Amino acid sequence: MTLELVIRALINGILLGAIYGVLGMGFSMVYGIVKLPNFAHGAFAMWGMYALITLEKYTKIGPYPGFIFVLLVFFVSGLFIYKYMFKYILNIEHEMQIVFCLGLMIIFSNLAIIFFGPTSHLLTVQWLEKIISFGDIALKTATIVGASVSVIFVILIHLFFAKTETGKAIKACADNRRGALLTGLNVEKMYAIAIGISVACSGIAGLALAPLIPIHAGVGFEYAILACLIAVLGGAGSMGGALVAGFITGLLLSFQQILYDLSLAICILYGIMLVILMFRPTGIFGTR
Amino acid sequence: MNKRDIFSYKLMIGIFTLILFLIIPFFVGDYLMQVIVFAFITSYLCGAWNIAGGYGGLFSFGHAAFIGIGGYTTAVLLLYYGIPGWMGMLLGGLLSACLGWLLSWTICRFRIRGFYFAIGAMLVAELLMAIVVRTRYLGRGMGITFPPIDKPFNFQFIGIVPYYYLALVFVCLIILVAYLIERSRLGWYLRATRQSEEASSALGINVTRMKVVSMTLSAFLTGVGGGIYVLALRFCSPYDVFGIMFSVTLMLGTLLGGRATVFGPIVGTFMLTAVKEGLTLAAEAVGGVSSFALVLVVWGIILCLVAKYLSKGIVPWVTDKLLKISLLKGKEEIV
Repeated sequence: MTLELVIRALINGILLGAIYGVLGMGFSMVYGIVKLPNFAHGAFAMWGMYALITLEKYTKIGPYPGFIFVLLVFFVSGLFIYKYMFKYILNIEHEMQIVFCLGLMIIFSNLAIIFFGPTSHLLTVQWLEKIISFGDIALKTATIVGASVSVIFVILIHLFFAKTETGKAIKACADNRRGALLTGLNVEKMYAIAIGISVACSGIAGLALAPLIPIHAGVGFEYAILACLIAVLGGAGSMGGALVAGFITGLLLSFQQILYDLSLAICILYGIMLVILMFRPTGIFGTR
Repeated sequence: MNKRDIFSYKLMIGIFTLILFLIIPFFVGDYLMQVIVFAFITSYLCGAWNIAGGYGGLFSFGHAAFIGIGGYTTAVLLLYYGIPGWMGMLLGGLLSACLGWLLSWTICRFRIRGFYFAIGAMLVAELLMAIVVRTRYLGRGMGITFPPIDKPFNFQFIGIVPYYYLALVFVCLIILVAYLIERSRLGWYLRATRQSEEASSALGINVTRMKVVSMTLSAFLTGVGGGIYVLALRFCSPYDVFGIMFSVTLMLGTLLGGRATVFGPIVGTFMLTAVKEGLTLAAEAVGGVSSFALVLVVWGIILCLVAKYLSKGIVPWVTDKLLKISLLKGKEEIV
């Protein structure tokens, strides 16, 4: 295990971690603000990946410029998903909420199979395949771009929640719903926006991950579980916690991937998560 | 009409239905036979899930873990060591029961609730899948295929008909188990626990023990079911037996039919199977659409609708409606 391997694992881990962080943040956002465990979160990431493939195959705009447009579509879809689906399940039994979201995920995953077929696709974009080397350490451009986009998005979200009126209003709704209603805030609209942002987060994660992995319909479920795990690790309602947890997960997976192979890395990750669920389910920055 | 008459009336219907089921194989073609056999096995598995999820109130999203353990134990023991299928099933059930015991004890001890329990259960199944996929001994991703041998003692048969009768026995078994649980002290305590853990605990019910017992029993039965499943299918694949879709099928069948009821899981499973076969026929008629994915989309929609509107299930809903009708007509309560 040479130094360059370690450094490569470290850098790769941090880059991946940024992407996982965005993914987990989206989940934590919904769980923290609307109190809904959104198991369908990974499915949006999957659809992001498929959207990229469609853009690449059928349009003249490259996938990346076109994705700004897709992000907007995702945000609006999030609004609709809240208005026509999530709104109605906010008051049902907790287990039924999970069941509902699982149902959504099944629907989305299988719609992807219907539209795109059960085989794997690979996204190949010329300028992303290049490998940049710093000395002896080689990194895929795709990873760097993906991580950068994620980090930019995270910063934007942070600014949104900290500085804008709407963002602060959403946080108020999360903290105390009744108080927010009494103050005259349109809680429904706030929830809808929060979910829109969450879906967009998932889309960004999908965008970032798309060039790195083979894309098939099972990816939705994989990333749904990963999003949950990251959110739980960081503390299920906490967005900052999810970000930190994302980095931890990224580093974990990256190191294990270098040391062993990916499938063992996943086993170990799941094992660790099980232990954490047992002893500290509230995660690192847990609020609930 | 007094109670004794009603009792024998139901019994007559039961016996008649049983005879009907016994002679079905003589009238039904191969494909439909396959469908019915797996519907029976899935009904049995749903019923087993119901013991933990319905009666026990432990809504497990990871029962596929038990199916997988049962399936792999049966497959490995049979094909690598020549141990008869029925013995493998029982051993598989025991192993699953151990895992179930461990799981439920952990959940009670560490007070893992709702969402965390759900993700934890799913994680256990996924972890087992990930481990099996890495293990060459267990066939890795390609699974274990059973050769078409005829050895009745091993529960290996060539046709599907013998499996039909086995599956029928299993369904009757799970009906019996559910019925016994409902009438037993365990069932009574579980019903109290489902409604309010604190109150039950205050009354002296050992909530932890009730939960552990129901989960362990459910795990055992599910493990045995996993064994018969792979025997009937002659194939044991990690993505199938440990997969989330299997867990979801068990959950959906029982939710749709009615949690904590004797016949709910069976009714639910048969409704889902009817939807599945109907859609498959339609998709093939239209052509070009993947029937497999289409069925799952519709099942997903059903899952969402049931979660929101029918979380009690069909059987309780029907029973409620019948009750209201009979009350409106001024008759006595339907027993």
